[in-house]
Amino acid sequence: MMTRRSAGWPITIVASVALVIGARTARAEDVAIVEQHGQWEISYGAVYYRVFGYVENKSTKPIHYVKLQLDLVDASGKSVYSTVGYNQKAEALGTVEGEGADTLKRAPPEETLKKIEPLKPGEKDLFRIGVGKDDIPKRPKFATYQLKIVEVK
Amino acid sequence: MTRITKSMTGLVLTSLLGAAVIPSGACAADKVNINTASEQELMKLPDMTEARAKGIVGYRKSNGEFIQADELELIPQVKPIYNKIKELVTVE
Repeated sequence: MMTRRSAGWPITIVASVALVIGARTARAEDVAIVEQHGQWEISYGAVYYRVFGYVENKSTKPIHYVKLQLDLVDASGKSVYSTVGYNQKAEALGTVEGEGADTLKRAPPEETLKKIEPLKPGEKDLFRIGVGKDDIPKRPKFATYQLKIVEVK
Repeated sequence: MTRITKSMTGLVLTSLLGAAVIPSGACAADKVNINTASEQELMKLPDMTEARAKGIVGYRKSNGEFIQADELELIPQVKPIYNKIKELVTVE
């Protein structure tokens, strides 16, 4: 009986290692920001600064979402405002802001994630991250923006 | 020696005068601050009309001070001349 159990261990270990390798967490290097630009916009009477662009899955596996961080930086390179956003297919993972947002019923992130269509290898997806002018500090004024990928899954 | 010194002084003076006469691009002090300028001050900008100046002042009243000069592109009357004036304005 003992001998049978012992014989099964190597198989279990190999299978576990294979699972771990197969389910390797996606890294920021697996995705590239292939295009981006920032501009001021007016939407429903409110002024926004929005950064648009595309992310591309550079890996050989599907990616469920790409989380990006936008920093508005002053002339010295210091961040004066920071926010995060997701690629368009995964925008449901983002937070809902504004009046009445707290009354909305939101599905748990795991449930939302199941409904998101993954980015296939080589596929590009749009992203757009906006900041309301009222939320941007008046001093020091931001001179430009910086964008980086902070999470990939 | 005196002759050399005199001609050098002349050269320095000529260079300084030349630098003062030939503009090498607007410096910050010459720029129009679109956050504080009145309609009359805005009218000093090239191709600025009364309607455009009113548009800038109106935008400022409705949306608060300009954070970036690029916001001028949001004002329909000003958009056509934005490229002409962008280097001449500041948002200090």
